[in-house]
Amino acid sequence: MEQIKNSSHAGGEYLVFTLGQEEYGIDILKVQEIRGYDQVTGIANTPSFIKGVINLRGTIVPIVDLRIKFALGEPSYDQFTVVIILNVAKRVIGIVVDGVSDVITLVSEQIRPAPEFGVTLNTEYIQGLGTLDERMIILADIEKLLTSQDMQLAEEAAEPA
Amino acid sequence: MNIDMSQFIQTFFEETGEHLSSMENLLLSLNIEAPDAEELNAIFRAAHSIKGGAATFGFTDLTEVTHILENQLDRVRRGTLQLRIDMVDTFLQAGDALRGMLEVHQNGKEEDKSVAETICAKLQALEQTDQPAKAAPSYWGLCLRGQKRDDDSLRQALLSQGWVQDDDGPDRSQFYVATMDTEAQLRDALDFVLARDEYTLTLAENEVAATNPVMEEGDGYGLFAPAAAATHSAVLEEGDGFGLFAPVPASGVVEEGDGYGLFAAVSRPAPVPSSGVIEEGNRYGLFAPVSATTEAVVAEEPAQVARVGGRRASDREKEATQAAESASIRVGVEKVDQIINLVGELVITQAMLAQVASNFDPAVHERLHNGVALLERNTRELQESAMSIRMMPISFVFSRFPRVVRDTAAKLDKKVRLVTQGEGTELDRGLIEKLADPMTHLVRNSLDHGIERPEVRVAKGKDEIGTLTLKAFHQGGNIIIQVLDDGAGLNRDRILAKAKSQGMSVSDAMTDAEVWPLIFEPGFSTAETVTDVSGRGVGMDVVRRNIQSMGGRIDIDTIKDGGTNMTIRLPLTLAILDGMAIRVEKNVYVIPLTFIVESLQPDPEHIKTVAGKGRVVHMRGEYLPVITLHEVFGLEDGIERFDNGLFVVLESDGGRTALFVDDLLGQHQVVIKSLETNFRKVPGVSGATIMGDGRVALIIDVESLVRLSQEKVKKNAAA
Repeated sequence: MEQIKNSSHAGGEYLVFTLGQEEYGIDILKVQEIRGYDQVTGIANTPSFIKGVINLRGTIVPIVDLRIKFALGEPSYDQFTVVIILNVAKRVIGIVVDGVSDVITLVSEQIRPAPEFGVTLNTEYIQGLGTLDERMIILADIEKLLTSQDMQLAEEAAEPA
Repeated sequence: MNIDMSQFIQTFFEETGEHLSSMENLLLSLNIEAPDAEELNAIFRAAHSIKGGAATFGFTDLTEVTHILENQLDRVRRGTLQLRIDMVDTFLQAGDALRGMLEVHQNGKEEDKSVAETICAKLQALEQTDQPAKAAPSYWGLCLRGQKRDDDSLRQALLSQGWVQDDDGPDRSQFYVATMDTEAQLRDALDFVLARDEYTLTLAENEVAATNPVMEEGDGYGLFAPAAAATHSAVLEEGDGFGLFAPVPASGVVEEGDGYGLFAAVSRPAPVPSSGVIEEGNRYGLFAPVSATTEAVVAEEPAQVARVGGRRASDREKEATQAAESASIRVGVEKVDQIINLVGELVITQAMLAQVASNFDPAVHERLHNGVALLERNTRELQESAMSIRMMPISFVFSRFPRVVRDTAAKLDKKVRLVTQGEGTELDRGLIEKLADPMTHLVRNSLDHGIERPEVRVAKGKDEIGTLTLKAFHQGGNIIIQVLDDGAGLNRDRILAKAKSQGMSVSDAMTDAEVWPLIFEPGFSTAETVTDVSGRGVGMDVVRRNIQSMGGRIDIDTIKDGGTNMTIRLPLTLAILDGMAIRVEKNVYVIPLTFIVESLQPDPEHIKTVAGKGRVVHMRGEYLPVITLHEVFGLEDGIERFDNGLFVVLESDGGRTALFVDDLLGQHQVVIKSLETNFRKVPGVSGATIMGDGRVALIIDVESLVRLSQEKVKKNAAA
């Protein structure tokens, strides 16, 4: 796991989810579980993509809607809305996505470095682009993304304007 | 097989720390004039345990110091060394030195030999300054009747009592015995070998001490009593004809040979290191050249310090000692916290089940309802017992103060008596840890600013010795801790003058209740001079902040020349909170009950705006600023329907405010969960909790909410 994290081109298993038309892959080892969206308690004075917190078997877990954050897809909430619970940076965080498709295995030959432009995500947060048959999967460094300043999830990002 | 010692070493550090603490406490509470035997024993045991542990792990410096400490303590215990106040001081210093060494080892640093040497020398010096043993031995002549006794059991029995000299050699019908024991004790010992009518015992006039007995002891039995000789039961062993040296390992003799076996060296190759022998010899100071050593009086002038904390009721002391010794297991805090978390979950699940069950007809589903009721009771009991694991008596905080008071009083040249009450009062472990610093500050403050110098006190007609009282007790759902002194009290004029010079907005018309809290303002100190102890102006504000961060508050009560009473009010635990659940729109929030003064339905007539921005409500002649929760928290439908909702009047640092909410949902005990574990701190919110229906409710941080609202108003005004 340590190796996967450190090497941007390493192969491994990825959970693929969709945001709008784009397919994203995240390291499967960071995923704790996938659940439905319900009973989110809103938190005042936070950006709109922070939906609030939920009670995950006694743990208070913040929920981030990546659809709002990246202005992709339709931010609707019903029984089909999917929340991926992640274990990143010793925290438990939930992300809302359009849908989860499958788990794929990529070897390092299938992963190409990301170009400098082209996707919603800043390339800083992209490990590479994975190719599987005709699909292009954006491999996101979810840990880096969620702990980044503009997600306002960690302490450094506190005190929103 | 190689046992990995490292797994035990942490335990050793922890336990040694505890032993040191208990040793310190016991030393401080010792009555110098008449030390309690049980207390001396307890101190001795603590030192002995440290020595044993240290030896196991090869910390030779610790072993050396404790060994000497133990020897001196033992002398005190046996009454051969009269306890003096400077000895207690040295023992305390030894304790400090040991603690230092322990830290060095714990951090894996290189040990500093000089520390150990210094303290060892100091400890050794104690016995040299000591006067000869308080009780001189008495000499007894023992005359055997009837047949002479060839066996050695008699000799040994006598040896166990003290020094023995054969008076008439071969037939051994007469002995001289030098002993510390009373006649009755001597007879008891003899009972094992002789019938009462077989001998006569007379107090001898002549001091046979003049003769060096060693030379005559040619029969192969050294003079040292065996290890266990200190107790009379050991005589039984003696009676079996044990050799004295043979069965006792050499080290045992050195360490434990503290009995009455006495004097000087054995001329034969005895397995006793000579240093040990000399030590033994010094103990009773009988035949060793005491006069020679007493000349080496140590020049060190013992500090004359106020005797503090010493005379607590001894029975309470014993009770505490016994409590500390009761069976316990050492468990990691995280394990306990996990149990408490799980129990919290269980409570929520149980509440959910109860809610579901209430939908079923009790007549039809009687068993379900019974089961749910039983579950509720069991859960509550389980929760209480789980919570009690985290509870610790406040004596863990109080116990550090005898030392603090003693040292500080000595430094300030004041005489102070420390009284503690309610040490058994229990509160959450987390609070105990956080309480130590603010309390130390308050105590030092009381000693420095509160209690006057002895001459001033006498001039005021008070007892020369000031009294500092630490009190703890439960009141409602809170624990109250008081720091009381009978000192000068706060000086209103000086506080006001100081506040003015600091540019604070004060007026002479302020009530006392408004003046006293000024000392909690940052940068405030009225001490004429900055002392080592306090007066730097940092501190009281930190004290208040610390206490507030624990969800508590601090109040001052003071009478000029009568004393000051600092009262700290804390919730019983950090894990559970009594709160009022309120509703705004669809959102549920919890307000800690301690901040709520009252709630009422407002009359829209009474709500006025100030400068078109801020709002106030007129309530019983008072204008309270209004905070509308949906505005502060930026909730959607921010309609103002003052006639629809309720006002909750909150009391906080910044005075009273009226919080406008939609509805009150009721009072709950909630389990506090941190938002910061997976998220971050949110302004206006101190944490979260899980309600009966499984939803998350945020707990409102009243202080921060008030600030937040003020900022909003300012921002609006600026816009």
